[in-house]
Amino acid sequence: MIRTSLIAGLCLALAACANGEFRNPFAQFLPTLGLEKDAPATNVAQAIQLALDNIPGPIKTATLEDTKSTSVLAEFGNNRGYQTFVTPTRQTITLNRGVISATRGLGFDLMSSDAERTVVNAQQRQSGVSERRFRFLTADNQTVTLPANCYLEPADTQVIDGVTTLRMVEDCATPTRSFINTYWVTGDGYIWQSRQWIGPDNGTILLKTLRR
Amino acid sequence: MTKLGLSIISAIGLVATSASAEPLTTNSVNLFGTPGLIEMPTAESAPDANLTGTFAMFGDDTRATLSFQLTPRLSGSFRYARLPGFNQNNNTTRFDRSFDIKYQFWDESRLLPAVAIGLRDFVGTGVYSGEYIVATKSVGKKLRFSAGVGWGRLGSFEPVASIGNRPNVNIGRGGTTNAPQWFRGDFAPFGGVVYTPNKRLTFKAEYSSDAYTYEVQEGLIDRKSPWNFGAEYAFKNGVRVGGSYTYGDRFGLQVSFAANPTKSRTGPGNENAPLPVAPRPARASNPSAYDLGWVVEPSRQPAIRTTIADALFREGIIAEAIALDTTRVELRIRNTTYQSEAQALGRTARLLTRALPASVETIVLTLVTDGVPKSTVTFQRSDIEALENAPADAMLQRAVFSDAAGLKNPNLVATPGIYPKFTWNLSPYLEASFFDPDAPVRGDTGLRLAARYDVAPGLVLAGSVKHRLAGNLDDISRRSNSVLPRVRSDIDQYLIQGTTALEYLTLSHFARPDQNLYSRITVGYLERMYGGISTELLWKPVDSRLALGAEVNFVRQRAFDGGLEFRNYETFTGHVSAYYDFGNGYHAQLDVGQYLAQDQGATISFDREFANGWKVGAFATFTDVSFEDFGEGSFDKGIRLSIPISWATGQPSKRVASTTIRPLTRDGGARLSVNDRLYERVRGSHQPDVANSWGRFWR
Repeated sequence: MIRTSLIAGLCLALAACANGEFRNPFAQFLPTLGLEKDAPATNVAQAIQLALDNIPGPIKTATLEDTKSTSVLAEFGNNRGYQTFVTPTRQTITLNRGVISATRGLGFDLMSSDAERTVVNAQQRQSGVSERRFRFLTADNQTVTLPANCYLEPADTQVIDGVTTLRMVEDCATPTRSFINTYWVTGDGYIWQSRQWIGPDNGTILLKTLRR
Repeated sequence: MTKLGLSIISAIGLVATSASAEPLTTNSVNLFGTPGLIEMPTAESAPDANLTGTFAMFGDDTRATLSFQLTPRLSGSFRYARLPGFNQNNNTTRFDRSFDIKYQFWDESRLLPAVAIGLRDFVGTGVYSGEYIVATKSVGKKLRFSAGVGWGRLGSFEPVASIGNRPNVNIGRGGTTNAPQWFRGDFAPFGGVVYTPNKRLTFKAEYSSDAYTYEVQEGLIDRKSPWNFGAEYAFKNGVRVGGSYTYGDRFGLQVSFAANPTKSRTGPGNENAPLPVAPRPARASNPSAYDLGWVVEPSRQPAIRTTIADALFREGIIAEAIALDTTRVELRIRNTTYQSEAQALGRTARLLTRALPASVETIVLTLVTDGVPKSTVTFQRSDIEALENAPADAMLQRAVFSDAAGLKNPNLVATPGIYPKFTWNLSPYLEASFFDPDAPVRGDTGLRLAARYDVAPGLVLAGSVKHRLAGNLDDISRRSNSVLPRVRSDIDQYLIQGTTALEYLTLSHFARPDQNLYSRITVGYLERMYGGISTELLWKPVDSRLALGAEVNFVRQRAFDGGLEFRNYETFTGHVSAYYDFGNGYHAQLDVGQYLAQDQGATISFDREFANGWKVGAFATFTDVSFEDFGEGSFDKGIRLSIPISWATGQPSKRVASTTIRPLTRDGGARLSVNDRLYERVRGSHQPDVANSWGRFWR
């Protein structure tokens, strides 16, 4: 099984994209990033600084817990509240108001998911049940839906990067496994940081906000 | 025979619709390369769609078997065996081909075992012929007990009774079924136990009902005991290695490799993320975005077209022509990258949301191959915007498929630089031949230079030359004894004399004569052995699972040396064909017509297909050439296999590795091998195939 590294790699093809509508937000300074696969942490830090200095709008970092690989992401699209964030190497994570609804370019991608109750409960910082659906593709191009019964409840208050958040824990059970998501939600209902399960192959991803 | 083929197919049809409970499965195989004990079968099936290759050594004998789990319950196997000293008259090595089928017709329940019925070596010369009914019951998760009764070879040791008389084994020309023998004569019990202490290890013990009568009589084996013992180890990657001690006399060794089209180590593969949809601002909040000024501004339209074509090109999709209207855009796209056309459609649609003025609502995408439109899929841009994060099915409901013929939009502007276009490539090649008794495996390697000139949409000049650098394919000393025109059996001469050979050099014309119709005319050196003219017409409605085709060729045999000269033999050859996609992964094809040796008859083909491009199939041809005149094998038949490169690498690719395994190549039932036959070039763009991979639309 190949786990695609989230670590940024230099993408000349993307840098060459001319028209702004198609350009990865990282494209303008990709040549100065000089990132390679499995880049050392200093390069990730450098990429983060470059992103904060050059890209307006929301910036996050994502870490795949299994591979410990980290990348910086910038908002690339926003469609009816679904924000799509992209890495310098053109992998994307789509968030439904902070809850991961899809990934692309990671391999074994989460194709789409339903999490409406989780989203609402997290925003309102209240406990509640949620019947979630996770959809994946098989090697034979067929969509398989994994249902999960989840229960979200507040745990404690934590200060993350100087931001006061309510830590909320979501306990989910599918027919074959269970997993836990954690959301750190600000007073105005914004998911500032989260640890979310994105599938049986990719495991859990940690999302941090650098700029809302 | 034809009747048998049909009844197998109807059995498959039944299985495909009625199977509901899970059959009992195992990854373990026996020395015959099928799920089983050591020599004996069990009732177990392999996991559905498993393709297993097994190489086994049993004393001095060698057995190579390819098994495929056709349905969850039905499996088929092809085996090639080398049996030193087996030939009675001259004590020489015998090379034997055999086919098996097995059907698990009864599921295991809490108290009752799974039960299967099977035929071993039921077509061919009958060296291994035997039939059986076997039951397997699991006790806990680690133990499985099997017991059965066998006929033929499997009923030869201490039979308990008999059903009528078994007619004599015909170790003769082969090819025909030994149906009169099935389940006739003596039958004997066999059985065994399999213990699987963990995922990696398997231990087996069995009582064999094969007396090895002939081998004992010839002194090839000293069968001291009916008891066999074995162990098997499974590596993480699915490779299994096994050893056994059999009949108190000889050792068995086996290694098996399994691949499953529905599983890949890269899952559905990986590629760069698609561009996300860029939704338009609401008309009410930003009416100026919907302004139609861009339509009349002369510079805007070419700029938009260029932007679209350039951005698509970077996605591996070629925009051959674009028509922009105030509220509608039409694109002719050629997907050069993605195995699934659905993915090319999805990427194009999303990219357009970033490039098109807000007033454009209707997106019309026409899939083009060979310069010819194959199907048109129409989307509403507001659906693309609304359903980007919904289950993929929702978008499929909103997509409208239609025929692409006759929709000649006068506003279509051809993208510059697409036609004419010259492309070429130089690559190494590897070719192998199997089953020649003198050398069961032979191979060649060398270089191939291929070039293609797309003169205009639908008009292609293409050629290929290959040069052999090393190999032993031309080592053939076995001359054909064919009594038919030598339409294929001069293969040795082509190999010996054609170190550097022109493989093909053709001018092809592809067109759409009318709705639902596709045509092809190919002139030139069509294939290594024939040149001439090939014409084809295909009827295939865009949403149909049925297609009908007709092909007429006039060909002349090419010179052995691969140059431009011809030999004297010339003929008309052609077929009418029916293709049917059952929609559940099974596909049938029937071709009726005149073959290269001017023999008349039909080819029936049956494939199991997967949405990711995998195909595993078999075919057989029966013509008015008698089995006698055909020679060894009695009729033309074979197995074909297509493996998409994207399945193996996880990277997007349209390339497919295909091979046809024929036990024998003779002159009866031989077809012309012309490039670019229409059906496979058309169906991938049509509704059933596109819908089958629709999950990739949003990928």
